[in-house]
Amino acid sequence: MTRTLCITASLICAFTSNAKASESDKEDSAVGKTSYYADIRPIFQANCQGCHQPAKQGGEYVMTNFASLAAGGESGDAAIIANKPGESNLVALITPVDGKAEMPRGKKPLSDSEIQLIRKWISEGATDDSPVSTRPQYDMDHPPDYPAPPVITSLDYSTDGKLLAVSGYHEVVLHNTDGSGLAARLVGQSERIESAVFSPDGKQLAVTGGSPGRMGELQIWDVEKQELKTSIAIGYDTIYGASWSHDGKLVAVGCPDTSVLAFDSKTAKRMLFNGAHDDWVLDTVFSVKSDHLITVSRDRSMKLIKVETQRFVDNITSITPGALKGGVNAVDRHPTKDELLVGGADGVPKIYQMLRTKARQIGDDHNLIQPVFPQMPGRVFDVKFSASGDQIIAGSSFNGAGYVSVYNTSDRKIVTKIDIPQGGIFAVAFSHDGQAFASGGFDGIVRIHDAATGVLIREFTPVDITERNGK
Amino acid sequence: MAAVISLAVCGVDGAETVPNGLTVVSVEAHPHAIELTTRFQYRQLLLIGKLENGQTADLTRIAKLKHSPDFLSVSDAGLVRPLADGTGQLVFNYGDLSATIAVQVIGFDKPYEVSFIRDVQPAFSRMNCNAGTCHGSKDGKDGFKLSLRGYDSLFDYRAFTDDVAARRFNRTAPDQSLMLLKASGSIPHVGGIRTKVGEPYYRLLRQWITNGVKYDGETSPQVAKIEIQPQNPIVPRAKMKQQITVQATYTDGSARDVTQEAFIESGNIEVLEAEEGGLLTMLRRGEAAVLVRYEGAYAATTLTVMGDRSKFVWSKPPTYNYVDTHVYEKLQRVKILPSDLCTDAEFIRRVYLDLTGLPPSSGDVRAFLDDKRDSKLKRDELVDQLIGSRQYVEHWTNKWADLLQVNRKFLGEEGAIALRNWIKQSVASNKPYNQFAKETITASGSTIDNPAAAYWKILRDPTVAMENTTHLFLAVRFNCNKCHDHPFERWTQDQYYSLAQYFSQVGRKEDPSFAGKKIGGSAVEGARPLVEVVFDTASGDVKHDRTGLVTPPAFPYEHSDLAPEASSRREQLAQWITSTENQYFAKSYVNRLWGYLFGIGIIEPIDDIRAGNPATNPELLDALTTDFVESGFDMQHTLRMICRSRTYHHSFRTNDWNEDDEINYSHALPRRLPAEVLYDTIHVAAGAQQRIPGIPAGFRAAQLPDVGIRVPFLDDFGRPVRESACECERSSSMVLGPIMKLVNGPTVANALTDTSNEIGKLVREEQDDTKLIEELYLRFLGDFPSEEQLKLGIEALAAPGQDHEGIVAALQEYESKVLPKKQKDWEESLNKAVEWTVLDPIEVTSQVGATFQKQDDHSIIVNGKNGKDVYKVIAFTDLANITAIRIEALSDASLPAGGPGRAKNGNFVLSELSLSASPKEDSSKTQQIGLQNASADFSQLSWLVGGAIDGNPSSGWAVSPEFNKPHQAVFETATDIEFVGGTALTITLSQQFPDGNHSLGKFRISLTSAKRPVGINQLPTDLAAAIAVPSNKRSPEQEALVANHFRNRDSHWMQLKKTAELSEMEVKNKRLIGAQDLAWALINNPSFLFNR
Repeated sequence: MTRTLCITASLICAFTSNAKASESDKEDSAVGKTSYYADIRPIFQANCQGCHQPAKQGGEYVMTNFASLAAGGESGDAAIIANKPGESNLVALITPVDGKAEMPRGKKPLSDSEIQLIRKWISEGATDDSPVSTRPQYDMDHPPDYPAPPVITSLDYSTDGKLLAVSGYHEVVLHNTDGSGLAARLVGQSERIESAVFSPDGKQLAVTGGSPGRMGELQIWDVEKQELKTSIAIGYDTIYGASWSHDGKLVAVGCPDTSVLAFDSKTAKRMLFNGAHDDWVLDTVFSVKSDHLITVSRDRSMKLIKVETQRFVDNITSITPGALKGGVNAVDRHPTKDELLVGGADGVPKIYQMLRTKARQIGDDHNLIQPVFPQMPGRVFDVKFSASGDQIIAGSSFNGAGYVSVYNTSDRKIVTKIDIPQGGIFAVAFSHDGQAFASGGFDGIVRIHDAATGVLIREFTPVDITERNGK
Repeated sequence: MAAVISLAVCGVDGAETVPNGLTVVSVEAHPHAIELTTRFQYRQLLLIGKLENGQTADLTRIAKLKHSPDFLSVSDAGLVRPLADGTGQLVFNYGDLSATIAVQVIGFDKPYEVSFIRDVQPAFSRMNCNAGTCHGSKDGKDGFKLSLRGYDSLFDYRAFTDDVAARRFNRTAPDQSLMLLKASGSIPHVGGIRTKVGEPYYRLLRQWITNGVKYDGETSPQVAKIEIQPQNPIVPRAKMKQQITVQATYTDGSARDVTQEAFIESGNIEVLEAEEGGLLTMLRRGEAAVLVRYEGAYAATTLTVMGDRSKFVWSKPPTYNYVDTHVYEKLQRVKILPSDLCTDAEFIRRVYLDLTGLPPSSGDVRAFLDDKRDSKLKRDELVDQLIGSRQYVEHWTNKWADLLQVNRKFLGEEGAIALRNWIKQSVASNKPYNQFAKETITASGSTIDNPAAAYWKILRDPTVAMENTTHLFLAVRFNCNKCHDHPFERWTQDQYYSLAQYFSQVGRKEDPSFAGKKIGGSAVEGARPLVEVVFDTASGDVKHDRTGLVTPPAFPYEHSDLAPEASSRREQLAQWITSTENQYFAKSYVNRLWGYLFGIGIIEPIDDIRAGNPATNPELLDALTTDFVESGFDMQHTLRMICRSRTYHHSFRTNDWNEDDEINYSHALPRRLPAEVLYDTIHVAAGAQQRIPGIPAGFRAAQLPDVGIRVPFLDDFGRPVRESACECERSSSMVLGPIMKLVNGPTVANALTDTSNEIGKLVREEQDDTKLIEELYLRFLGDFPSEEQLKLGIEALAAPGQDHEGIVAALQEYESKVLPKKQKDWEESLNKAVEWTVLDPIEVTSQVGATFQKQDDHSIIVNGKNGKDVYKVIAFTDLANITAIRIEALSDASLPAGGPGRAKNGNFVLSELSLSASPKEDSSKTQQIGLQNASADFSQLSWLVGGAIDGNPSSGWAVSPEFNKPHQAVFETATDIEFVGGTALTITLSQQFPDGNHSLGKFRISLTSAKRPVGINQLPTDLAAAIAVPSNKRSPEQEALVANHFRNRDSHWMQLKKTAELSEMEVKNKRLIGAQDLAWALINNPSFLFNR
């Protein structure tokens, strides 16, 4: 079922074949070809890949995929030349001279047996014998099973109010809001979904996510056809916070490499790049006219980017050290005004005006529209305006419990609040008419509450749980 | 392949064995029986071989596993893990001997509720995920932060399950959890592979995720204690290994083996090294503590590596008091033979320096050595006599003045003097130590009227005061745990803030009698009142750094003798600290006293009590502590007890059985004299008055009120700066810099050559050389000289002036043979007209934009921008053998005040002149030409012409007040410039006077090939007149005038003359200088520099 099982199985195989090799060594040392997948890759994994991976690229050298492993890095010398270990730069770098080797840098040299194994593999042709499928594959025809519900990281109602998009494992599930169950399963490559957002006309769904520590992806789905229109691979870790321009032309995302990107939703062409943040960018939103993009980050700031020029314009929040605590997790824009609702690690939802009316002074926070909302327990993970803009909702997580509050935008007073002791809340959404709201998080259960009274209308697990087979 | 290699290592050459000569007589297994009740449990075995000689050897890895049931796995290191349920036994063989362990595994397949606190956190710690260099660092690593070493389990739980919307675990597909993918290196991880897929930690974490990543911080039992087995083992030989096991007991009474997860560290890496899993390797004979920590619990045990002592025979020395009983018990146990007693002379110097900070006088030494009574009796009497003496009071006052930071930087001069006086009165009256501490901690009122209150003036911040107070009175370091739980100790961050509350209600206000007087103040901190009144405020709290909340006051460890809660926080604090019940208060002080007297504490450093820093002789420390408490915290009593012990009387000379011992007091350790003691001892021995600037002569260094009085000698020798209570502020090292300063510096020179000192008096009054040398030895080293020393001393007295005759002869030879000829050349050069060739420059450039106008006479007038400038003049010449260059600074009506400079008053400063030359046709052969023997027709006072060629841009040639006149300066070339076919010259005139105005306004450059010396001689009129007379017709007066003038310009003659004069003086003061030289040699002798 899982990749681990595959690995374990092949390790066992490798062990067996090695045992054979050593037995037959007496007769013929050439017998028993070295396996890249079973013998060599584990050595690289243990000693090299920490620094030579896509996210680090020490010496501009990436060892996690076979092509770049052989090609080499900044020196320009081929790292591996098949059949010629003596000419392979990689061998030169790992071979110790007077007990010290160039690589792994700052660590003990590889053992003699490891180096011999690598040389042997190269002299045997340096082939990649990795199994074709070394990881589980899911697609629309082979959706995943759920021995346990996944954590819910994203919730969004369609514009017409008929569908609720819920994040899953390797998929986004669309539920009918009338309670009639599952409308669609949009299965893709990304195992973890960070955001799933309907386009303004409700016809498309932008999904960000990826596989943690390996890849990021933006998916754009045709909702009606349940068809993946576009998949854009972005970076080496999951990406966050999809948002649509008002005309549906652009989709913006935040990336863990601190960049902000926007793409043409039809052509998938990259239309915007900005690198003003210092840490992971966790959410984005366009201004009313879509001439600006607003982004929030773990670096504690909210930044304003001009779409046309791709330039950083301003820090909307204060950036004085010590003025802010923790990162900002979520941002939403008022439906009709350029006013921005943020929530983050300080637990206090706040509204900022987008454009500054006073020159910045050190230590100021002029754009903040006072007063702030009452502090919620723990960290706020999601905030949303209602469709009318009259109310806001925020969800938080604190020491294993969740909290959802609805406030009046005008006087910042609380309308209703819900405690969810089963687990933290990571996603909230108002229904299209503002009558109800959905929340989800740690425990993987979607709860629909009445927005005025806080009465629970419905709760459900968005995926079907199957028995866990085996241990 | 791996299997083949490991077989080779274990099977043949690297095998661990019991060393030759040791015979195992029985084997014992620990534990006798094992019960494992979950699949994650394990047990580390110990197989202990009893040896013929009563010692033990660890056989865990040596004994053969004869039988093992198939439901178990047993590693080579003796780690037993379950594979299935079952009952059976393990059998180990060593030769004919065997050991059997009953084993039962039950509940292997039972569902196990993995606990975050008990299981997951220790696993992460063991995998080093939360280490300070990894995710435990201040900002975490790659966006993922854990608390340092897992001190904040809730924070870590949030990091694993809540950060970035729970990105790090995956309940749906547990093996795809980021934390497992990273820890197993299945995806790239800078930290590498911390656990492999399928290994115990991997399985444990996976199980925790499958069970729903639950947190049990509120309900899980905590570790109550950990225990190490075996306790204080003695390992027979170096190179042997010893396995230890660590057992944790929880607050619910349960216990488990945590040897794999415990952090095990060696307290002395020269003696033994520890590796993960509890295997220790002995490196050499000695003792070392092993510190074990596990989840906030700490334990230590001491390993003794005995080495081969088969010929050792213990002979028990007499004991003078309980100190010796405990010291000798330890020595017998570790097979060390104590040294003999020191001599009476060694003892009197040792005890004087230790108790009074001064050496005994020669009279004291004579009397003591002459006293023919029983040595122990007279030594005890001496101890009694010194304790409490005037000098004793000064010396011990100074020690407390260090610790209480008597420093005018904090207190002003008045405050520093007042506080020192208060300490002095306390020492003089032998105030009980608990009372002294209590008065300090609870002091209120004006820092002048009640100087003890100054403690709270110096320590203003509650947390700083808390750290200082625990360090000072308990020798416990509460500082690392300000920001996180203490990494090496049991103290927690919560305890830090709870204890700090006792320090938070102290108020300070200006003393009205000193209104308006301030001290300190800087750009970021306002000045404070010079004198303040300290009082209890009854309000004010410290906020916990992590929670931001106010935690109620609480003591980090408890005892029953507490003040009522109604009393002020400081009263409660003082009662808690100074109580006889407090486990560290009395103990830390007797350890300090012991450390002062022996150079190394029973716990060392003497102010760092930690679980990981155990006492080398706990029984001794306990006995001293009990005695001190029973005496009513009487410091003099404890000092007397120690000084009367036989241990204190050990010689510094070692024997075969104690030469490698530094920690068991088997012999005295030479200790360098502390800075103040060294300073005072030099002066007392020389009988010279101390002359410390700013205080009356005769004031001793030990009597200085505070460190505000700068004495470089004291700083060089490690006087503390008194900015903290740490004993580490004082240095007693022997580094070359201070020693060279001692040898060559003014302190020793002044003390020895002071005309009013007693060395001079002795030399005058004591005509017998032998007696004189004896007296010097007694003064400086506290003992009579040996015969050899006496002989050398007498030679030293005769040494000065020995080569006097030779020196005088050399001078006469030079005066009669060399000097007249040199003088003749000089006189000739004076009479000779030098022919100068004026240079016609090809190019003149400026750095700042000055412009140059060449005149018909080849002089140059400078216009345009003025500034700090460098003129570069390039010219050709056909002149051969150039011996000198002349710079003319010329006046001109166009210049300010007529010049020759461009400054307002007509002055200039030629900072540096340099010259380079090359053959006219080949500039590649350019060489720098040195210039020498500068002379000028006129130089301004302190702006002499020599300054223009001394390489120093801040000196130079100027001509004030001789303005509006031409001047000239001549510089000889170091070597003749002679290029065939003409020479290209570059002359650089650098003018760097700071105001940027003093550049030359008009100048001209000339060259000559006249015979050396070439110069401008400005001779006084009478001299000029005398020289004008031919030498054979001069009057004797004229001849003498000329000769004298010339000699005084001749450096070689000057040198010879000076040497002759010194030698003359030595001859006259032969004995004095000899005595001073001897004293100087004695000071630079280890017997003087060290107390031994």
